[in-house]
Amino acid sequence: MTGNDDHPGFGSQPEALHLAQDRRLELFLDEMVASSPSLPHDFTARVMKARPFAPWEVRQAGSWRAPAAIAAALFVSSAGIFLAPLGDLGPATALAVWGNVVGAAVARPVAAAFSAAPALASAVEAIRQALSPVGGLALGGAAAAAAGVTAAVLRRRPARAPR
Amino acid sequence: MGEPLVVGPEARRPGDVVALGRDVTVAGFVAGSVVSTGGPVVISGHVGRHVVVLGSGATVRGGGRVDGDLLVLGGTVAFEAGSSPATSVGGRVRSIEALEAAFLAEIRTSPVRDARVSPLLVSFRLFLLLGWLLVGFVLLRLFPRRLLEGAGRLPGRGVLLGAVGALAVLTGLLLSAFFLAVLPASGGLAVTALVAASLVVMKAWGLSAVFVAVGRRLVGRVARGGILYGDPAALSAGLLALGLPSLVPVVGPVVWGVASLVGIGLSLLGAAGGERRVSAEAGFRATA
Repeated sequence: MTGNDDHPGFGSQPEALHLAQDRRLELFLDEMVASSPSLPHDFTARVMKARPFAPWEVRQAGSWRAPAAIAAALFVSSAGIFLAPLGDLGPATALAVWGNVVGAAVARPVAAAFSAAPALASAVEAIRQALSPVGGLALGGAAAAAAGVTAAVLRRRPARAPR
Repeated sequence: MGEPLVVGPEARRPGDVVALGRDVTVAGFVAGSVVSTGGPVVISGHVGRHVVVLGSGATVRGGGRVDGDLLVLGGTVAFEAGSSPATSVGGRVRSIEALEAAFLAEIRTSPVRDARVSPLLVSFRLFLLLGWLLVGFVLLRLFPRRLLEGAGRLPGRGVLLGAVGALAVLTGLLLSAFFLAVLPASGGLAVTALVAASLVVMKAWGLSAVFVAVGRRLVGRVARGGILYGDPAALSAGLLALGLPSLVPVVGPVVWGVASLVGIGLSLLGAAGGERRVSAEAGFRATA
């Protein structure tokens, strides 16, 4: 019942601690079942079949086959749609073009944002000086009101049913 | 829209020109910068420093001249009647077009909406979905309990969580505007960047939980041992269910936007400690 390939120490300490506790509990239940002669012989198999997915099971390689296939399908679709019109260039060149374009599409906006920062800063400074103090106070009041409403909604957050 | 702000051919303005929601026309000379929020700017005169246009476009005409940078966010830049970026702008020309490939694809989320579908944009959108999937994988691998607890909070609370997410975004926008108004520019921009980064982190965490919750509805009946059994498969199925419609006109941006707001709401609910705990004793007393 507990045949996982858990790797303790991966992730944050409390999370790893919780997962280890889960695993110990599973082991304990396993031993209880094994030492109880009154239970039917296929009890473990039936429980395994019926119980929901447990968090520690994300560390089993078997859980990731379909997700890996879906990720690969997205990658192949993305590259394929772009490469289809570039077939004449040959696969290596077309793939290199795709890599360069995707890389530029990710990196260039960041570079553009950094290069635009000084002009944006001077614009913000100009707007700040043009804005009346009342306008600033109104913005502060509206921000405080929105934050207050958000906090109030969260304080009255949905209740969990008693166990 | 207010009255147009016009700097006539013979006029000379020593400082900056700042317009909020007004058309701006500069035919004369402005020694400082021209800053417009929500109104188009037409330059046929001379601007000594930068021209910054937020939420509208800029046009440089004829002998119009900008000594500094020309920055347009949320609009287009046009050069007419003999003007050109090389001859009319002393600094750099920066427009949303440079940011479009990544950010617009994320905001608009629907490249098919454009009649001239660019394979590049569809390809890039699929690449972004792959990025979201990988982020979800990493979060699920590192924090399975917390993420799956978050996914368990969604059923039956979508509207409330969407409202919380919308309130959080509104709060973030107003806070940014407030700090931009009261702090020096560098401080205000730093706070704005911090607020934006926080919202992105909350969105990434919450969307991953939303993917799992949606995916559980789709593949939750798969028996143990099936290829689509388990929460990693649910996360992938949920991403496809919410991400692929983002390629569809009209519906796509709405679906992705609502999912993002619900995700932010889920993150905030988790940060606030999850659901309120109602003790069995209190429940018994209420029943009695």
